[in-house]
Amino acid sequence: MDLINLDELINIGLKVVEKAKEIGADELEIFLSSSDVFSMRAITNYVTTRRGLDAGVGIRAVVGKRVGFASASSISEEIILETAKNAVKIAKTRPEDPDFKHLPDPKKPSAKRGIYDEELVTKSSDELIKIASDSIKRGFDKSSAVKKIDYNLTKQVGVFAVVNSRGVEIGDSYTTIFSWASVKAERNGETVTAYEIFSSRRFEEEPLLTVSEKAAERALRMFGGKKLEKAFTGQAVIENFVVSDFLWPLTYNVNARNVQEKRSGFANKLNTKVANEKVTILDDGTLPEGLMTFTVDMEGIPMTKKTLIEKGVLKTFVYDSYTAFREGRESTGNAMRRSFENLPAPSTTNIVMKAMANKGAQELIMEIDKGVYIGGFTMGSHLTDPLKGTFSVTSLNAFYVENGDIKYPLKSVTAGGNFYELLRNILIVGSDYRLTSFGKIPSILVDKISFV
Amino acid sequence: MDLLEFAVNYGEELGADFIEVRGENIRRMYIHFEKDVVKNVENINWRGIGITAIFRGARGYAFTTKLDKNSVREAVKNAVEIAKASTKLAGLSAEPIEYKPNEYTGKTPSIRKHPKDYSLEDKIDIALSGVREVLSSEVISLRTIYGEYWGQKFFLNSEGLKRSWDPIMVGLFYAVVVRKDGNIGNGREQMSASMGLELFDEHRPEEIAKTALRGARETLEAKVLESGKYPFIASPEFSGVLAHESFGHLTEGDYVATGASILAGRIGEQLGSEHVYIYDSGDPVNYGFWVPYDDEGVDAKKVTLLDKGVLVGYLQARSTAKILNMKPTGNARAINYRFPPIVRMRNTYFGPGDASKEEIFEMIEKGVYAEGHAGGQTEDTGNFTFAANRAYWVENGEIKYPLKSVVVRGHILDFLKNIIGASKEVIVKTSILGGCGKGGQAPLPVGLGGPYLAVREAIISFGR
Repeated sequence: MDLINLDELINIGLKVVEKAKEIGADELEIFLSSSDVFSMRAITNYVTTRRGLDAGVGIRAVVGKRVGFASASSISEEIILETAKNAVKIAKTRPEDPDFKHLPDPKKPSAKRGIYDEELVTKSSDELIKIASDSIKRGFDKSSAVKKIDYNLTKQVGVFAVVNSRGVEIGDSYTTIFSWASVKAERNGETVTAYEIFSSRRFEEEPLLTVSEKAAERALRMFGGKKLEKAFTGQAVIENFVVSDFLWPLTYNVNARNVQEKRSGFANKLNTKVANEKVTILDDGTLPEGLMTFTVDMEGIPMTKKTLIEKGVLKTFVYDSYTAFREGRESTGNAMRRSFENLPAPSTTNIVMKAMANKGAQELIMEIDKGVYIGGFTMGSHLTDPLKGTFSVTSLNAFYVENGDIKYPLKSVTAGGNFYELLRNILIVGSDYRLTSFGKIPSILVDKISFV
Repeated sequence: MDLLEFAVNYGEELGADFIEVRGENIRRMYIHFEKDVVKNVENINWRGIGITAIFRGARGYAFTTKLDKNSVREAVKNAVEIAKASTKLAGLSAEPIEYKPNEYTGKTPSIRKHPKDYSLEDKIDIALSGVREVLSSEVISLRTIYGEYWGQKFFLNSEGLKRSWDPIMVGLFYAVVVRKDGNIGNGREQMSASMGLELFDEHRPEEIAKTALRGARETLEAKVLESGKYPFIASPEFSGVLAHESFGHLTEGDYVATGASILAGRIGEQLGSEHVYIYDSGDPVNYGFWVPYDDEGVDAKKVTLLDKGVLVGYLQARSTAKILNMKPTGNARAINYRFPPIVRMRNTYFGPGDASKEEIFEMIEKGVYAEGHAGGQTEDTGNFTFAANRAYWVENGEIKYPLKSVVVRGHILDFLKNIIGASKEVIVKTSILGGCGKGGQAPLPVGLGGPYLAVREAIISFGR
C-alpha cells in the first residue's frame, strides 16, 4: 500500500488552512496522520493478522477565545473541509476560555528528520509472518514443558503533519516494530507463565526471533514456586521492563495540565525534594532510538530533552502550547495525541533514568538483605491512583531473595507501597537499559515495599 | 452496500473460500469539562470498510478508510494475500461453521430523544446541571465527560447474509476531588445506556454528580483495616466486573479452542455454588449495550454460561464454534473497521437470586461491601485483582463506615464457590468511557452487571 508522503500531507493541510477566514475561523490547525499498520497475533496456532491504511485529521478551530475540535477518519480534502466547518461550529457554541491565548507559532527543529528505517518499510507481510512462525517455533523448541505461546508482532509505518494558520507547516515520518510473547509451561501438574517484549524503531531480526524463546526461559525459571510464608516489608529489585508499572504516576504528575488543574501531587513541589538525592530522571524527546522520538511534537513544536528530577529535586513539568501560554512560557515540545481523534495534551516522551551504578538486575539482587526480585508479569498497576500514589501490584514472575541470593520463585506476590515514597526509597538505579514505550529504563533497587 | 458487494465479488474472484465485509459510519462525540468550563469537544467519525478473507482455513484481514473502488480493491487484495501467506502457521482453522440465519428476537431500543436531534448546547446543559449541583469551595477539581455513540453498521458475506443496524449509547461521567484539612479525596460515578437523552430524565445528572461527591468525601474519613479474608458483599457493578473480566474471558471460544482457558473441556462441571448463574446477552437488560447482531452477522442471543453453578456454555465466533463443534452464539465483535471480529462479550451478568437487597446485607454479619468498581485485572489462570469504587464496613446488615482503597483479589473459581446468596434485583450497565480491551481493541462497549451478591469470604487489601 502506498503511504502518502509528508509533503503531500502538508499540502492537503495548507489547502484547507487557506480557507480559515472563509469558514469563520480566526485560527485553524490541522493535524493529519496516515499509517500503514501490519499486526499479527497468534494464540499458539490460532492466527489473526490484519493490515490497513489508517488516515485521519483532527482540527482545532479558534473563534476569539473559543476553541472547537473535530476529527474524521479521512484525509480527502472535501471531508477535511467539512470537518473544519464542524470545528468552527463547535467553537462558536463554546464558552470563552480565558486561559487560551493562541495556537503555537512556527519553530525550527534542529533535526531534519526523525527515525525512519527504510529496511523495516520494505519488510512484506510474508516476511513478517515467516519471522513470527520462526520465533514461535524457537519458543516451543526451548523445552517440551512449553505448552502455549501467545505471540504478537506489529509493524507501523506512518507520517503525520501539523499545519496551522500562524505558519506552522511541519511533520515527521516514522517506523516502529513491536513484538511480545507470553508463554505458558507445564511440568508435573504445575503451570507457570511469563512474557517478554521487544520494541524498536528499526528492523532487527535477531531480537524478533528470540522473543518467544526468552519468554520461555523466564517461564521455566518459575517451576517450584512457593507462596510467601509471611508478609513482610523489605527491598525489591524491579527489572527494567516492569519499572513503568510502578513509576507511571510520574507521567501523570509532571503533566502541566494536571498541575494547573491542581490534580497533581507535584503541584507546589517545584524545586523541592521529591526523590532520593541520587535520582535523576529526564524526559528526552530527542533520544536517538526512543520509541517516542519525533522531530516535532504533535503541535509542530520541536521535541526537547529536559531534566524532570535532578538529584532528587523536581525541576520542571511538561507543557504543550496551551498549558505553556497559560503560564506565559514556551511549550517544552510535549504535545502528544493518542491519535488524530484527540486534542493535543501534555505528555512525557521518553523517560530516561540516569544510572547510579554500573549494575544490572543480577548485581542489584546481590545488594538485597531481604526482599523480592520482581522480574516481569505484573497485574494491577493500572489500578494505582496516580494522585494518591497508592499501589498494589501483583507479580507472577517474582523471586524471594535473602542475603543477595535468590532463594526460590514465588507463585504470586503483591508489592504494596506509595509512588511518592517509592521515589524517595530508590536506593540504586542500574545501567541495564531497556527501551519501552515508557522510555529508556534500567532495573532499580528500592526499599520499604510491603509484600504479601 | 454497493461497495460491500463489489468487495465480496472481488474477493471470490481472487480465490478466497469465504469473504465477509463490514461497513460502518459511527459518530462518537465527547464533551470534556473542567469544573463548569467546557474544555474540549471531541467529534469522531469512523467511516471505513473491513474485509475478512478465508483461504484454506487461514484468515486475512484488511481495512481502508478510503471509500472508493480502487482502495477497496487494494484492501481485498491485502486480505486475501495475508490469508494465503498464513496457511502454514495457522494450524487452527478459521473457517466459519454453517449458520442458518435467525433474526434478532430481542427488544430494539425505542429512542425517544436521539442525540442527533439535540444541539451541543442541550448536551452541555445536561452535563452542567450535575456540575452546578456539587461545585463548592471544598471541590478542588471536577472533571465531567458527556459522551455519545451512534450510527450505522452494514454487513455482507459471500453466503449472501446481509445485515444492518443502528447502534446507540449515551453516557455521563463525573470525577470529583475534594480537599479538607490538607487531605485529598477522590470520587467518581458514571451512568450510560443504549438509550437516547431520556436516560438523563430517569437518572438525573445532579444525582450522578452527588454520588461522585459523596465518594470523594468518604475517602477523607475512610478507614484502613488489616488486609486479609473478610465476608463480602458485591454491588451489581462489582459483580459485573467479575462476571466479565474474571469469568467471561475464560469462556471465550478462542481461548477455549486453543486450550488457553482453564475452563476448556469442563462443560458440565460444578464450578460455583447453586446460587450462581452467569449470562451473556446482546440484550441490554436495563442499562447495558444493545447488540442485535455480532460482526459476523450472527444474531446475538442470550447465552447461559453458568447454570446453578454448572458450566453449560462458551462464547463463540463462527470459526471457534466449528473447531469446538458447538453452535455460533453471536459473540464475534470488533471495535471498528480497523479490526477483525474476535470472540468478545456483550452484556455479561450474574443472574438473579431470590433474596431482597436487605436480606443479602443481613447474610453478612460483619464484612466488606464493595460498591462499583474502579478497574481491575485478571489473568488466564483465573486469578484476579479488582478495586472497588467505594467500599464500606457492614455490621448486622447496616453500613457502618467507608473503607479506603479496597482491592479484592483471589481466584474466580474459589470466589464462585463462596457465593451464598444473590438478590432479585439485577442491574446491568455499560459505559461510554470504558469497555473491554481484548486484543488491543479498546474500548469495545459492553455491559456488566448482576445482583447484590453475598460472599462467604474474599481476600481484601486496603490502601494506605
